[in-house]
Amino acid sequence: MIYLDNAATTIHKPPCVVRAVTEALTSLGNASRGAHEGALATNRLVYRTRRKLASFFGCPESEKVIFTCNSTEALNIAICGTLHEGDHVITTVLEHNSVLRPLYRMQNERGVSLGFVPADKQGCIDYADFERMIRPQTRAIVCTHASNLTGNMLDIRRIGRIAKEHKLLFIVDASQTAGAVPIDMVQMGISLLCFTGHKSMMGPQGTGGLCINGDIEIEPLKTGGSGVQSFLTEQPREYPTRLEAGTLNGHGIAGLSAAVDFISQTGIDVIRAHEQELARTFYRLITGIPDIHIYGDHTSDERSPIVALNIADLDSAIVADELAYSYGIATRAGAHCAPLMHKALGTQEQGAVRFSFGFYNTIGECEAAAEALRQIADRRVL
Amino acid sequence: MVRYYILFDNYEQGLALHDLLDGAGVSNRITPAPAAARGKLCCGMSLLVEADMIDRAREVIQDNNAVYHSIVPMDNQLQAKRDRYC
Repeated sequence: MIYLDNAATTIHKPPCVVRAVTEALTSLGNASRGAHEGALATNRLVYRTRRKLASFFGCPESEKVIFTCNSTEALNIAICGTLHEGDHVITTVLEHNSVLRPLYRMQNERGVSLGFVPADKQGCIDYADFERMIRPQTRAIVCTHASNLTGNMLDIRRIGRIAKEHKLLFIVDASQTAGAVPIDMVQMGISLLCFTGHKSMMGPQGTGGLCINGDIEIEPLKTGGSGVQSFLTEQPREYPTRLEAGTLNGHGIAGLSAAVDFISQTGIDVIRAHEQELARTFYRLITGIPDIHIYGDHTSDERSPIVALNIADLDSAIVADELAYSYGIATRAGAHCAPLMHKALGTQEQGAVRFSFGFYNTIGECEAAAEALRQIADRRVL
Repeated sequence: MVRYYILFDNYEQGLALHDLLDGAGVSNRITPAPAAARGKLCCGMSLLVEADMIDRAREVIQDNNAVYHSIVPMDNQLQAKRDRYC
């Protein structure tokens, strides 16, 4: 199989990640539950991984790196834990449902009002819209670092400056960029960074986190066992315990830790350059295919390695199925949990076929995928 | 040529029927649900059943009270794979 669905999850993990999870499965106890060697081994692992991730993302305090099971959980904590009755939030139409659904929920349950920065037919936004939408009640800007459909990347530093100037919380969904693009929360002005471990980080599924920059009060989404202050009737208020009820995914965190080491040792710039080359090569090879429609702004290098497309009016699912069934190429068709982005692109009926590249893909795979697309386009029933 | 897509509310329903059809020897395969067929509320997977098998598939569904959303006929949008240089 040629795997080109890395925006959903990376299927090829570094060998050190596999080893770390395997070793953890036979050695780890429960972090913060006891002082025996098994529990302490996990405590040490969790402690070191927090510090590693804080350094990796430029989060000033490592105790404010909160482990979650994915970006969605981190976004739910960030959004539901900070918004109050009557708040106003600015977001964009580029967002995934992991941002949109918690926001809609806050709209319904707490009367939070939402403003959506629109996108043009290429999926590009006008940054001045963020400033235009700010009201006295505006509490936060919530946006993705890169669209999971078009691959267009937002200028987070620029939006961070706007948020800082107007004293707004700035919540960033880094699902498509963490591990593939350098992120520094302080330099970019990010208040809350939400990331997943299983995509560009190349770690295990079931890992992710929320990084908190500064003194931000976040109410917990869940409460329960913490291993500390057991006679309190409420969740302890100290971070990270406040937001980490229940046993952590120690085995997954072991893999995530190894994944961060792998990225740091390989070089995030090396990883990014390779993935960009793959996407650019594929784009160049397919631009001449008759009736192909490629979405997103491919004039910029500020992109995630994604190429989304359609061939004439062929159903995107039919194309993805043919790629998988006849050519062994895995892509993702349909709506990609990004309903507003598809509406902006005019593809809500047809969907789109998304090719997303990862560190372990090769130029040869790009060439094979381009040739397969060319043959499928040639076989359309006219 | 018409083919039939069996649609579902979620992946669990789809995988359950896939096992039932396989067990009954009704040829089918898992495929992305065509956007044109699925509407907004179905899940992303479907079972593709060729026209000569659809009646048997309906029997298996009925015999097992299998849960599904709908069955949608669609014309094939692609010609059969061929050697393009012939």
